[in-house]
Amino acid sequence: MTAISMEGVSKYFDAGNTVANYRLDLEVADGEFVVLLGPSGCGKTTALRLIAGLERPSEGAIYFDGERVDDRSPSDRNVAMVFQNYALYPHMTVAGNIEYPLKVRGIPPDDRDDRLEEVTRLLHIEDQVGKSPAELSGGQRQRVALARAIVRQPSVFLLDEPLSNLDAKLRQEMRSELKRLQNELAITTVYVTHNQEEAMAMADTVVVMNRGTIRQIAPPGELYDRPRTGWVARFIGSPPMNLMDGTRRNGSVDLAEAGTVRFPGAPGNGDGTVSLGVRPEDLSVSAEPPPAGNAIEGVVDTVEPMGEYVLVNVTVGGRVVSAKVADTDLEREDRVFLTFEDDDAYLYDENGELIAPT
Amino acid sequence: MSLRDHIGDYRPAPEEARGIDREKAVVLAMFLVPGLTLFAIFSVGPIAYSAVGSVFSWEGFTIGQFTGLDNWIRTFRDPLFINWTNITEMQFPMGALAQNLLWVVIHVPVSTLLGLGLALLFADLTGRRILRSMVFLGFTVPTIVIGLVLLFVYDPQAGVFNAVLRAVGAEGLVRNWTQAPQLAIFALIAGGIWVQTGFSMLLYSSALSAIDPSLIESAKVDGAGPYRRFRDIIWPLVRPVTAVVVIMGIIWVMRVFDIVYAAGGSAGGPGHVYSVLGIEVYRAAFEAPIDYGKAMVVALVQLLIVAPLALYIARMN
Amino acid sequence: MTRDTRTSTETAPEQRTDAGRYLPADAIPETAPSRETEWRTRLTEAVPTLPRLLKYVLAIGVALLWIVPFLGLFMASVRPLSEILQGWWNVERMTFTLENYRQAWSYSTAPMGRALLNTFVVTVPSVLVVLLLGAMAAYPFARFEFPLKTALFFLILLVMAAPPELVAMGNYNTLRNIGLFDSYMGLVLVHVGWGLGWVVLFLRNYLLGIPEELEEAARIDGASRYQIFRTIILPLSAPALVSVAVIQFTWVWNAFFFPLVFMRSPDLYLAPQVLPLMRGRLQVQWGLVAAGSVMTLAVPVILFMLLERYYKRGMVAAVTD
Repeated sequence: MTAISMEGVSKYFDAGNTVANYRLDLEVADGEFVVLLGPSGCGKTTALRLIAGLERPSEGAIYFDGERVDDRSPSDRNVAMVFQNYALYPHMTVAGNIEYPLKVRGIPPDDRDDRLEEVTRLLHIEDQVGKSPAELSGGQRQRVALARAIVRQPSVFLLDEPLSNLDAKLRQEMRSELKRLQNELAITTVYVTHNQEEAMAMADTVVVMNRGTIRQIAPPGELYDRPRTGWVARFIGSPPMNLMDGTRRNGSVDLAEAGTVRFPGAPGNGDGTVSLGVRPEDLSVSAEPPPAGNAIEGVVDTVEPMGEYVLVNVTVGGRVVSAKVADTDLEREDRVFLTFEDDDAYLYDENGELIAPT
Repeated sequence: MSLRDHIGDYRPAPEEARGIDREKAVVLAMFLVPGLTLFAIFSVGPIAYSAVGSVFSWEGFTIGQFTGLDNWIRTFRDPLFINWTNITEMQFPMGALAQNLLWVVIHVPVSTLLGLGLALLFADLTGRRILRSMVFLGFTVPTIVIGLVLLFVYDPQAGVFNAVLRAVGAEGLVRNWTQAPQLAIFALIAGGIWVQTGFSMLLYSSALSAIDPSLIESAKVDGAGPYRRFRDIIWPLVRPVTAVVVIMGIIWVMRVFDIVYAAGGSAGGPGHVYSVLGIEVYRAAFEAPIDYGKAMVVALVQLLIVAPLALYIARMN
Repeated sequence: MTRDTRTSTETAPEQRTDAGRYLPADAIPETAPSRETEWRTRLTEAVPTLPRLLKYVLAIGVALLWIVPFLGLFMASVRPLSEILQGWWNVERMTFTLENYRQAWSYSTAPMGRALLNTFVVTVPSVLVVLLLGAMAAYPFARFEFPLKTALFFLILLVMAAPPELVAMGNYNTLRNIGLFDSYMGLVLVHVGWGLGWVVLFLRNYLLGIPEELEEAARIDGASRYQIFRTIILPLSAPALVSVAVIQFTWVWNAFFFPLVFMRSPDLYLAPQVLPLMRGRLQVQWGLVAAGSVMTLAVPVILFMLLERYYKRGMVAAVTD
């Protein structure tokens, strides 16, 4: 079992013209399930490849259990990796694929067979061992790739968007199965995805990345409750947090046409441009102005009945604010008031850094 | 034509369907006939002509009596075609067929392996396009020029090969390589390899670049070193191309003519020591004394050797 | 758990945010920050590792070795015979001269100028006709079922495997009978008939990759088959047509055997045909041969360099598809 630590790791490509990663500091505890989350091109895959040893850091150091591993080849790091396209060897059978890492390490055939049997049973692919990868469905290939990674009992388990090529139903299934597997095996796992739902569902700790850097490291709950920047806030939640531009003045936020919102709890007394953030699920919509408390005024743009909830999109000062409500009889063009509890509001400064709540 | 054409596809009434068929036939004829006519007259026809002619006697360019396998038997007994005595004594000339096959046996494996080696060597280097083009250059040059270049390279006085021999102190080996009866064929084969390696390399390079890089990376993560990665992943994936490379090599070598002609004229070297089948066809058909029967037999032998291979390639796809 | 999450709960009151531990957005550089390092460190970083360096040395060495003979050919073409006999690689006291080119251009038996022109006159129509007829014939091969299709296929494969020597006798007699022996037209016809096989097969494979829906859409828009061919098929197969043109041009231009058999008058000789004649009787006229060779090979080599991508792609597709 292994703890991973990255210290100031940067990776540049094209002789420094492209910055893939910039000064990553990350600690992954032994047995932890860490998800690197970010939009495409944010450097999360490069970060994973740095841990795998497929890339060498341009700066900084990577440690496995306190031992520096930058110069070690992937095969010397005892990592296992599941690639986005699974990278199954097309000319080998399923059994050949799964046994390959054992064979390379010179494990005797009898042992290999035992472990093959064990791992295929674990992943429910006992019946597929004689087939070639081309004959398998997407989900089965996924399982074979996982089996190949698990079979040699690696100290670190790396997964690069492993579920992105599956359909929605299968993705959900594999998601819980992966989590169960990781719990059982307790192998340190780094998982890359652009899908925030996947990240929230599986991770012990989510690492949000953007433009090659880490924007926030937090457990899923904290990430949701306290997004550290406006960018992270917009990335988490479905639909994501509404952010409204305004001006901060004497403990309240002026949202121009939409009205003014009191914000007494915010620390500091700096005036200036800020963003007010409220999650759709924390907004209520009503046709009448509330007797007290904060309210934002707007016009209903669209109403999307989703079954379990209704999404009301309201135009507020030229931009659309979404609210998740249980039920509504509002219609397009209705004038409405959006209300929320003081505790549910977030305030970000002009650099997108969180001001409140602290 | 246009309206009926597409409406017909959706409402194929019987009388209209016939019309469509006629129309399709007209279109087919319009598109196929011009090309196929030329193809028939200048490619298929002459081959059939040779096949038929090979069992007739010939008076110059005019066909004579049906003679059965006479031409075939006569050709296979011709020492210029195959010289059994010299073969047993391991001495050139061994006859064009034996020499041509010797060419295959040396040229094809060596150029294939070299091509694979260079493709692997260049695969991940910056500037690989230029490096590959340098090696491939010879394949775009007229083969008659290749023959003349070989003549120049092997020249005892002006040739760079002999200069290298002198420089490394092998003065004794200096000679006019393309005219040395027992060695010349190997010198020419080396030249053939020099040219064709570029072609094998091109095919292997494209096969290598078609390999999903994540397979290689996966093998790295799985713990495979460079040798195992080649043996277990790269080689099995480029192996199908090897069949193509080898067969194309055999076809190329069985057709070799220009290089030999440039080095040794229509005789195929002094005393025919490195004559090949193409040379024998040319001499029999177009130089006195004209022997059309033999020319046709030899050319058919060339075809019979490579035809199964070509069909094998076709079946592979 | 990670250090960062633990500390975030212990934030001191005056520290409003945890920005200190994360880089502010504007601190991310667009390019790698240039470090104030000594030139020595930079140099060592720029130099590849030793095994990789050896690989480069080997690769460049091999590639250079491969073009040494051509280098010699070029050197010989611009130096007088006496210097060539001393070795073209001896570059001290090198005399640069275009005399060889001048002599080759007006070579008495068959001037290169005329021979190159002849080669053009034969090559260009051979390529154009093959392109047109080949594309036309490939279309039904890719799209329709018709009787004898498999048999035709087999014949094409057979011809592709056949050596050119095999068709020489038949074509010799045909051309003599129709009076086209020893003429541009006759040689063009032989080249077209010979090239059609592979061109049809090559273009057919390419056309199979063009989605049929495009044609169906055009038919619904009311286009006739001829219009579909001209406005949909031909433009879409442009890359394949370029590949065919480059490769066919190179082959026809470089061809030696067909001209040798079918062109008998010295003023109709093609360039490759003239080159072996230049060797002379006793002392090989290396300069002359080299100059003639360079002029002959320049055309396909320049074409290859210009259209390398099409040439290579076509070559690979032609033999592997």
